[in-house]
Amino acid sequence: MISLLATRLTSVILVMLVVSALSFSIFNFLGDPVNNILGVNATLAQREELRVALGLDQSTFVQFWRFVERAVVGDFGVSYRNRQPVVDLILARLPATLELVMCATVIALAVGIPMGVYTALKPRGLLSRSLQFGSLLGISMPQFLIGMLLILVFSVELRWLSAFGRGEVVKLGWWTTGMLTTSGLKALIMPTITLAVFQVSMIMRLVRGEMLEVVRTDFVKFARARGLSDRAVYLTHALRNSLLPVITITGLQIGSLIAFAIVVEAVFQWPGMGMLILQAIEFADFPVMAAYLAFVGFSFVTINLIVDLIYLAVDPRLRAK
Amino acid sequence: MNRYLKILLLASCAGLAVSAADAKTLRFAESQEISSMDPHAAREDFTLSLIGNVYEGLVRWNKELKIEPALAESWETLSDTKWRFHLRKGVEFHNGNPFTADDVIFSFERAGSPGSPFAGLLEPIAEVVKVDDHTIDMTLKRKYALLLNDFAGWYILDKEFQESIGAQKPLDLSTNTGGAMITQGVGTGPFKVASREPDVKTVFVANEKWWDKREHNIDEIVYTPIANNATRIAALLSGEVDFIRNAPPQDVARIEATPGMQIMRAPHLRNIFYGMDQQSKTLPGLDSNPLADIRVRKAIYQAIDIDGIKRSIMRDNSRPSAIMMAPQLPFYDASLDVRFPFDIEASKALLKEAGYADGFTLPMDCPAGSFINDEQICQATVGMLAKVGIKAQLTMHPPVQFDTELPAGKYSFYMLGWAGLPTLDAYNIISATFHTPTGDLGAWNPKGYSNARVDELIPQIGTEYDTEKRQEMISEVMKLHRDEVGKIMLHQQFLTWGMSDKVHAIVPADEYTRFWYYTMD
Amino acid sequence: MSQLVLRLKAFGNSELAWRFRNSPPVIFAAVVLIVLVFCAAAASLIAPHNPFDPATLNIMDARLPPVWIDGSSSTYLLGTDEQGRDLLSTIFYGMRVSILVGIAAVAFSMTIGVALGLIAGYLGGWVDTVIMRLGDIQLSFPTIMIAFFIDGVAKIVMPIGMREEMRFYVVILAIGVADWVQFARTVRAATMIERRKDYVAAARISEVSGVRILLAHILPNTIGPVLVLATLGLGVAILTEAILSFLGLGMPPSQPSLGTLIRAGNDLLLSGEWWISLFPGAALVLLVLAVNIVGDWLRDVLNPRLR
Repeated sequence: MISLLATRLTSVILVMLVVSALSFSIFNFLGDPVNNILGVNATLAQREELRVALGLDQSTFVQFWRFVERAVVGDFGVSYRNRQPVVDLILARLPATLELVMCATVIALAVGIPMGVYTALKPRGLLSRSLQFGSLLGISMPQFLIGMLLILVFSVELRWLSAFGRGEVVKLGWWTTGMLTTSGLKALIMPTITLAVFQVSMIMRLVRGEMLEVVRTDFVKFARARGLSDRAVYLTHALRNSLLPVITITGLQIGSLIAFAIVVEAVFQWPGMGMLILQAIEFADFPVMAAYLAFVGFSFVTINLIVDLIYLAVDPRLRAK
Repeated sequence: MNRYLKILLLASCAGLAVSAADAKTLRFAESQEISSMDPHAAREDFTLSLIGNVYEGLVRWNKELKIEPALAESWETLSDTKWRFHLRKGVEFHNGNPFTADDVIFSFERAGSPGSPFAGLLEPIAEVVKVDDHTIDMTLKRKYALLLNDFAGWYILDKEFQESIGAQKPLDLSTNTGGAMITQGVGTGPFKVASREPDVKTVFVANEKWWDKREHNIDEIVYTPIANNATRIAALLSGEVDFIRNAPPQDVARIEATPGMQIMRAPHLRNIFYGMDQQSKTLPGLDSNPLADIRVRKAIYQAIDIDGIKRSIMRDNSRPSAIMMAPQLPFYDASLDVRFPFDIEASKALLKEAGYADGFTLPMDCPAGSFINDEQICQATVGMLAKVGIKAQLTMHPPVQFDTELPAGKYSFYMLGWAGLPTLDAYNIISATFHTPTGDLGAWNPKGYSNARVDELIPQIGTEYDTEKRQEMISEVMKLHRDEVGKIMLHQQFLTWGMSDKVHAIVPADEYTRFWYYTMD
Repeated sequence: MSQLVLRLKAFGNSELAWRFRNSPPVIFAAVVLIVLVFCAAAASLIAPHNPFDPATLNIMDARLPPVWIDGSSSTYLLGTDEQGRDLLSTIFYGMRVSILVGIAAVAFSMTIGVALGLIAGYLGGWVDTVIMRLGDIQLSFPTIMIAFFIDGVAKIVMPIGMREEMRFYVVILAIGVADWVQFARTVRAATMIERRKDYVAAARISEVSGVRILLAHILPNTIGPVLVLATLGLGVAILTEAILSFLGLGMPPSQPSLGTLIRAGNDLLLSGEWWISLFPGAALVLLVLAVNIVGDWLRDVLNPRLR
C-alpha cells in the first residue's frame, strides 16, 4: 500500500514537472502577450520594455526555472490577460466546470445503468435494440453539434432555456453554485445534456457488457440453480458484480470529461476551466496555460490514485499481491 | 450605527422600488471580455470603448466624432509647445471626491510611467504643471498637431482612490499592483461600475451626479462576453440580450427579419488591405521578388473582384476603397478614392509585361478572426488570383500569432486592417503603415512600401497645425501610395450592430459604445 | 487462384460470415460504410466538381441552396458554400480527408502501441516498468490537451509556408499519439500469456531470435483484440478530428475535413443557410455511426468471453 502510494506520488511529481516543462518551452513561442497588452500603436522600445518587465527577455530555461521555483510554493504567477493571480483564477473557474462534470456524471449513471441492465436482460427486445442504436448514435455525434442543435431548438425557436452562462449563482465560501437558483438550474440543463450524451451511451454499453459476462460466470449459474428468480439473480448478483468496473471507468472518465468540457463550455459560454484555457491560448497567457495543464495532469493522477485505492480496499486479492 | 444601518436599508429599499418600477436595463454581449477596469492597463479598443462610459478624458469625441470639451472646459495655446487647460469645476468622482488638477497630474504620471501601455501616447508631453486647482499648463517636447485627439483616449483617475487601493501604477505584473482594479474603478463618467465577475458579467449603473446633461435614460448596463458567434446571435434572437456590437454579415438578414429586432448600420473607420514585402530580393520559394514590381502589384489588385467579395462575402456590408482613409476621417479626399478597375485581361497583360506570364507561387498569410469574414475573403482571393495564374498558398493564423509574426517581417503577402484608432487621424494610419520601418515609425509596414517623399511628409503631417497645409500633404501621401500600389486595398468594413428595436443607439465610425447617447423604450 | 477461392469459401463458411449474414442492421451499416468510403476514395472521379481547383470557383455562385429549394442551380445538388464550392463535392473530399486522418491516426497509435506492448510484455523487467509508466503519464492528458501541445510544437518548428501543408500530419500525430496506451496494454497482456507457453520456450531453445518469435508467433495471437480496438478507435479518431477542427486545431480550410466544413458552417447556422453546416454534419454522424456499428459487432463477435 505504502509502496503504491510512493510510486504514485513520484509519478504525480514527474507528471507535473513534465507538464510544466513542456508548457513552458512550447507556449513561449506561440505568440507574444505584449501585443495584446500594448495594442497596435506601441513602439518597439515600449514592447521591449514590457518584455523585460514580464521577464520574457530571459531564456526559456531561466523563465522555466523561475516558474518552477514559484510553483513549488503554490505561486503560479499572475495572468497576463486579466491580471489576477493564476491560482485565484483557477479556483474561481473550478466550481463551474466541476458542477457541470458532476451533473453530467450523475445523469450518465442514473440513465446509463438502468438502460444497460435493461438491454442486458432483454437483448432481443425492440426497446433494447433502439437503445443500443441510440447509444451508438450517442458516441457518434460531436458535442458541439449536439450543443448547437439544442440552442437552436430550445433557445432560439422555443425560447425556453438560456443559450449562455450559468444563470444566477450563489456563493458558498469560495465555491459558487448554480444549483440553488431557478435560473442557475435552467442554465445547467443544456450543457449537462450535451456533455452527458457520450457518457450515457458509454456507461450503458459498459453495464450491458459486464452484465452479459457476469451472467455467464459460475456463481450466477449456481444462484439460478438454487432456484432464485431471474430478476433477483440479475439485480442483486449480476448487477452488483458488474458495478465495480463501471465505477472505476466512471471515475477515470471524470478526467476526460473535464477535457471535453472545453467544447461544451465554448458552445455555451460556460465560465469554467475550459473557457479559461481557450481564452488563455487566444491571449498567449502562458502562466494560465502552464498552471492549467499542470492542474489537469495533477487531478488526473489523483483520480487514478483514488480509483486504485478503492480497488485495493474492495478487492482483497490485490492486497495480497 | 444601528440608525445608520436602518437609513441605509430604507434608502436602498426606496432605490430598489424606483428601479423596479421602470428601470431600463441594457443587456449587452460581445465576443471579447473587458481586459480590466484599469483604463491605463491595456491599449485595446474594445475595453477603452466600454470603460469610456466610466472614465473621461480632458476632451471627448461627440456623436459626430468631433472633439468637444469634457473634463477640460476650455484650452488655449500659450505657444507652439505650451498649452493651458482650464478644468471643469464642480465635477465629482463616483466616490464623491472632487476632480482637481492633482488628479490630472496623477493620471499623467500614472499613464505616462515607463512600461505603461500609454507611455507612447503621452510621449510628446514634457511636463504638466499645476497653475491652480482647476488650471494646468502642459509643455510639449515638440510641436504636435494631434494632442487633443490623443487626449480623448487618455482617461483621468482619482488620485486618492488609486492610492487607497494601492494601484498607483498600471500593469506591474511582478507585484500585481494593478490587480486591485480588476473588479473596481472610480471615474467621473456617466456610468459607475456596480459589480464585476471577470469573464462572466460586468454591471454598470447610471451616475446620477454626472456633470453633463443626461440625454440617456439607461439605469443599468449588464455586459456579458459570449465568444461563440452562433451562441451570441442565439442569445440576441432569443431575447436574452438586447444589444450586440458586431452582428456577422451572414446573420444580419435573420436579425432584421425577427420581429422586435433591428440592425443599425454605419461605415467603420477600418480599411482592409493586403500588405506586401516589397524590399526583399527574393520571396520564399522564388528566385525573385515579383511584389517589388509595381506591375505585379497592380496585376494582383486588378485580379481581385472586390464587388464579388462585397456581394457574396460581406453581403453588401462593405464599401470598396482605394485609399487607406475612411470618408469619416478629417482630411479625406474623395477625388482620390478611385479604384483601379477589376479586369482580369489587364491583370494578365501586366503580369506578362513583368515577365510572369505563367504566374508564380505566392505565400499568403491571414489572421483567423481579426476582421469581418477575414478567412472567407482570403480564401476567395486565392481563387481570384488562380484565374490569372498566381498560385497563392494561404496560411491562416490565430490573431495572437499573426500580430507577433507580421511586425517581425515574417510574411510576404498578408491581410491587415487599419482604422486610425484612437487618434482618428490620417497621421496614425500613415505613420504606422506607410512609413519605411525606422525607429518608432512604420512598425506595421515591415519590408513594405517605401518612398522617400512619403517619409519626408509624414513627420510634417504630425506637427503641422495649419489645416490647409495638412490637407495638401495628406492628399499627396495618399495619392503617391495609391498610384504606386503600396498596398492592395480591399474595402472599408461596415458596422452592423444588432439590437432589440427598443434600443435607440448611435453607431459611430470608431465603433465606440457611447452609452450616454442611448435611450431605451 | 484456386487457393484464393478455397480461402474465400472457408471464410464464407466461417462463423464470422455466418453471424454477419444474420445481422441485417450490421449489413446495412457495412453497405453504408462501403458506399461512403467509395465516395470518399473516388472523390476526384465521381464528384461533380473539383472544389479545390480555385480557378474554377465563381464567387457569384456562393451559398446557393440545395436543388429542391427555390433559387437553386441544378448544377449543385446539395447547394454551395460561402466560396461557391459545390457542397456535395466538398463533402466527398472532406470525407476523404476525415477518413484518411482517422485511419492514419489509428495506424500510428496501433503501430506504436503494439510495438511497445510486445516489447514490454516480452522483455518484462525495467523496460516493462518504464513503458507502462510512460503510458500512465500519457493517460494523464486528455487528447485535446495533447493536441494543443503538438499543435504548438508544430507551429514553432515549422517554417511559415509549411504549416498549412504539414497540418495533415500534425493532426494525425496529435490524435494518434494519445491512443497508443490501450493498444500497448492489450498487447502486453496477451504477450505475457503467450510468452509462458511451450511453443515460445521451444522456439527459444532452438535459438530463434526474439524479434522473430515476437513477429511470427506472438503477434498473430494478439490480432483479434487489436483489430477491435482499431475499428472502435477509428470512429473516435474521426470524431476527435472534428472536435479539434471546432476548436481551430484541425484541418485548415485549404484541405478541409468534415469537421472543418462543419466549423465553417457553424457561423451560418442561424443565418438561414443551414445546408452549409447540416449536410457535412449529417455526413460525419453517418460515417462515424456506420464505423461504430461495424466495430461494435466485430467486438461482440471476436470477444471469446461473450460466445
